[in-house]
Formats: sequence, structure tokens, C-alpha cells
Amino acid sequence: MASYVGWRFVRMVSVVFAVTLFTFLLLNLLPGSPINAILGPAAGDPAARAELTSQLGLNHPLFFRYFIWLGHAVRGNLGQSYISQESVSSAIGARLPLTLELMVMAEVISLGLAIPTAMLCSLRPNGWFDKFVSRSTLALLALPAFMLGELLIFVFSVKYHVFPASGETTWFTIGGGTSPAVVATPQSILLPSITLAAGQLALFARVLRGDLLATLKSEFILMARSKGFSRYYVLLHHALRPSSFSLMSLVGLSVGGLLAGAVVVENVFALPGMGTLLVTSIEKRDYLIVQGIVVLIATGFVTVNFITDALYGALDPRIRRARLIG
Amino acid sequence: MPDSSADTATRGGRRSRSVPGASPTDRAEEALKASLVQAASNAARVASAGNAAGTAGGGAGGIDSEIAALSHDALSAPAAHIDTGVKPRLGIGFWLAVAWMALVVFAAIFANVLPLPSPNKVLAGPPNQGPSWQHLFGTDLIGHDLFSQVVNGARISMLIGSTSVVVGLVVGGGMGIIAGFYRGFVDVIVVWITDVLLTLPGLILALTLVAFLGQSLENVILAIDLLSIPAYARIARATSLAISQRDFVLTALALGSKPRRILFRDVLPLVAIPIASYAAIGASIAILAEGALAFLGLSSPNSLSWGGMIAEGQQQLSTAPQVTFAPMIAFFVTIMALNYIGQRAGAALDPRQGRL
Repeated sequence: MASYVGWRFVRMVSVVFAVTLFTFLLLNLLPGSPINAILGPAAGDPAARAELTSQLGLNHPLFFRYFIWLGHAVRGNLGQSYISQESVSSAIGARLPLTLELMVMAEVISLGLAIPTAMLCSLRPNGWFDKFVSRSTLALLALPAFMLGELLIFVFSVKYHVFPASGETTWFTIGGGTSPAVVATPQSILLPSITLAAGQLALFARVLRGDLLATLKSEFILMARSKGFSRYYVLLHHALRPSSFSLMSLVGLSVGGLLAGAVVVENVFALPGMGTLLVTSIEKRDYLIVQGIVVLIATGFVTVNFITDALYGALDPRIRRARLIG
Repeated sequence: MPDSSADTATRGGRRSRSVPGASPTDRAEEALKASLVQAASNAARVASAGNAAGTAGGGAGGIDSEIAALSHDALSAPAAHIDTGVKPRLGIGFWLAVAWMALVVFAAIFANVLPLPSPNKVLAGPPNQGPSWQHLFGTDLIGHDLFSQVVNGARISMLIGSTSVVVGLVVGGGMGIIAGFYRGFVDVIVVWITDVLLTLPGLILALTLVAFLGQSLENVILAIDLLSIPAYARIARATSLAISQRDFVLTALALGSKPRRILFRDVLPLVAIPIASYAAIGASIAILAEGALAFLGLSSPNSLSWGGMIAEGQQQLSTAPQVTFAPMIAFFVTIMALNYIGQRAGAALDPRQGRL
């Protein structure tokens, strides 16, 4: 177990290392000077140029600069945007809570719907409900967030004014200072969360249904049934737990999908989260913010994966042994 | 002396082909092949589980985990067919999906030859019209013909879909086969590369590349092809790993076949099956990623794209909903069709249903 987790850890660190190096190189090997790229419209200002040159240490060799940058990044200093004059870390920090709020809501919605749906389907495989769910999950998988989001806006905001439309979204800020954290009201985050949840929901329901069907064929289920427990009782108390391992690891892994999805969903609903910050920064060529967000997403995603993987092994001894051997 | 091994190899290779009328041998060979395809599909299932692991963050938005869901379905498929022993047919839905894709490809290729008004022509018809015979999908607020725009928008989708399949099969598939066959150092490197590529959720990777390299058609294609490589590589590697450990590979080695010959003649054809059946799903993921990029305004600036049209229509949802719905329907049906093709093809190639 320890060596399994240790090996995963080494892999995780090396991969994060490679990604940071990759984004650093992308920024520094841009055609033209990185100074032009980073400063953007402010490139004409000699004072800014001089300051950035010394800050980036451009007179040093590339790899030396990378380690300096990495040293700062580890301590939470991702540089300062030359366009908004804002510290990159605090700019991201202000937008992150909303994105996290969105992701947590989406995860809760998708799990809350997927588990009962999959259980109902497995009660009568190939019955009408199962077929209906199977078709609609296939359809949901073909509805990316930007399409589903617009459909929901059209139905709930334009046709029937149940929810605020994009642009009228309401949020409030927490904390003071130059960049207070932004949090959305529950009402304005419901539609975005449903949009984000849809893809995950379809995936979770399909995977759990498959695993439940497999478990229901095992002998201990037959045993429980022959003891006189009802189908519903057996499903809930005997079959669900051993069937939920793939689902559990998927939940951890879905964080990546949620992160990417949040970028799209925030833009559909004009929510001021990290995703909109990323896209507007790309448009404004605010490269340091883009770099900061990318590094944060990569690190976060890999860390979550690592934790799920380790937990997964810890919870299911069969997996642990199989992976060590294999 | 150095010739002798090559000689044995040729003899070994030739023997299997040239024993005439040896029906027991043939049957044995059949059985061997069947068991191999079985092994391949098992391996692909493992790969898809691994993919669920890796690729859950792989595509764009919520769609990324699709591979996991679809290949899960395709490969761990309904066992109902086993008892009947009936070879499953692809069904009418499959052929409808193929017909739709043929139509889209046709539209993409002949978009500027078809008798349609130019997609950029202002006031091609009266502005803000619903669907009519002159303008099948209606017109937008300044009178662009939406049908013509949708037809032209098919171009970039098909371009992205096809290049990603080619690059995925050749680069990803090639990397995976070699890694699984030779193992050792090559394997470690290939696995590490796919790990790195999967560290960023697919859409974020594409966004980053396009942001830093500049917004052009070439860079969008490059970014999306790059993000489609790891899924193919993982499936190919897992399958190749399983096949390379089979007895017939060992036999061929013992007979003196060179590894490279075994790789091409024995392993490649069997790995080709699962990765080819993944191609439709891979294409749909690539097309979705381009759609998301275009929606965010970060795809190729000079081409009409369904994602971009959907984004444009969002401002006019209350006044001219057809602007959004026309490309949406085309996009939705195309992705559905590709997913369905992938799912059915995967299921049909599963020997537990096919009874080879």
C-alpha cells in the first residue's frame, strides 16, 4: 500500500512539474519578447519594461528563470498582472469561491439524481424506465454545457421568467480589501449548476447502473433474497455499497470535467468566476493570469486524482492488491 | 548463419498460410483468433476503465467523461445476446446515424458549390424570419441565411473530427502499440506523456495552447489533435500489452520472427479493432471541444463554426431564437450520430455478443 501510494506520488509530482515547465516555456518562447506579450498594450512604457525585465530576471538563462518562477509560485506569488495592476494570486483568489460553489452544487445535484435513477433502472433492466433513461443519458452526453445552458436560459428566463437571465445574475461579495471574494446567490447559481451537472449525471447513472446489474447477479444477493428480504431492501442494503466503487473513483475524476465545464458554464451565464477570468484574460492577453489559472487547475486536478486514487486503494483491498501485482 | 534466422522467420510465417486444406489447423486458428479478439476486448475494457480514470478530465466540459460512459456501455454491454447466440445486427438507428454523417460530410465538402446564398451575405432574405422554403432555417437579424451558415459551419467540425481521428490513430495508436509491445523504458515514457497530457482537462489544454500560440485554424487543429492523442494511446497500449503476452506471440518469437514483424503482422491487426471502434467517439469529443472553443470565441477567427454561431445567437435568444437553434440542432444530431455509431460499433465488435 505504502509503495503504491508512494509511486503515485512520484508520478504526480513529476507530472505537475512537467505541466508548469510547459506553461512557463509557452509564455517565454512566445514569438517576440515575453515582455511584449506580458505587458501587452503597456509595452511602450519603458519603466514597466525595466521593472519586468528585472522581475523576470531576463538576463538569466531560461531554466534558471524557471526555477526562480517556480520558487515564487510555490509560495503563492504568481506575479502581478500588468494590465489590471493586480496580484495574480489575489485576482484568482477573488474568483475561485464562485467556481468552487458551482462545482460543489453540480456534484451534489448529479450524485443526488444519479444514484436513485441507477437504482430504479437496475430494478427492472431493459424495462421502460431503464430504456428511457438509457436514451436520455445518450442525449445528455450529446448536449454540451454551452448548448444545454442556452436551452435552460431560453426556457426558464426568456419564456417563463422563473430564473434571472444571464447578465442579471446576482452575487455578493465577502470580505473587504482590494479583491473581495465573489459568491453567487443560490437562486442565480441553480441553473448553471444544473447545466454543469448534466454531463456528470449521465455518466454517473450509466456507470452505477452497470455495476449494480453486475452485483445483483452475485450469489450473496440470491442468498439475501432467499432469506426473504424484499428486492428493494436488498438493492439498498446489500447491492449498493459493493457497486459504488467505480462511481466513487469517477466522482474524484469528474473534478477535471467540472473544472473545464465551469469555464464554459460561467461564460454562458456570465458568472464572475475563475472561468470567465480565464477567458477574459486570454482576450486581454493578460498572460500571467492565464498562466496562474492553468497552473492552479493542473495542480488541483492532479492532487484530487491522487487523493481519490489513494483512498480508493485504502477502501477496497481487492484493488490495492491487484494494482500492486499488476 | 545470420540468414538462418530470417529463413526460419519466413518459413514460420509462410507455414501458417500455405498448409492447404488442413481443416483442423484452420479451425484451431479460428479458435485462436476468436480467443484473441476476446482478449483484445477485455483489454479494451481495462483501458476504458483506465480512461475513466484519465480521461474523465480529458474532453471539453462535461462531455469528457463520455468515453468512459460510452465505452463502458459498448464493451460491458448487455449480456442478453449471449444466450441466444444471435449475431447482433447494427440496427436501423446505426444506418440512420451513418446516413446523417454522410450528409454532413457532403455538406462540408461541397458547401461552396451548393446553390445556397453566401453565408456572409447580408439581407439574403428578409431579416429575422422563421423557417420557410426559401430559407430552411430562417434568417437572423441582419438577414443572413441560417441554413447556408449551418452548412458552411459543418466544414470546421468535419475538418477537426477527421484530423483528430487520423492523428489519434497514427500518433496515439502508434505510441500505444509500441509501448505495450516493447514495454520497459518506452512504456514508461509513453505512459508519462499521456499522464502529462491528461493533467489538464482537455478544454483547458486547448485553451492554453490557443491562448499562447495565437488564434488560428492551424493552432486550433494542433491543440485539439494533441488532446485527442492520450485516449487512443491508452486503449492501444492496454490492448497491445495483453496481446503481446499471448502464446502465439511467444511462438512466433521462438520460431525466430523478428519483433518488428510480429508487431506489424500479429499485434497491429488485433489492436486496430478496439482503437478503430473508438474513432467515432474520439471524433465526437474533438468536435465538441472545437465547439466549446468557438463558443468562448477562441476558435479559428475566420471560419464559421457551430459553436460560434450558438454564442452569437445567445444575445438574440428573446428576439430571434432560430439563430441559436439552427446550429444547435445540427450540432446535437451530429454528436448523437457519432456517439451512437461508436457505441454500436463497439458492441458489435464485442465477441461475447458476436459469437465469432
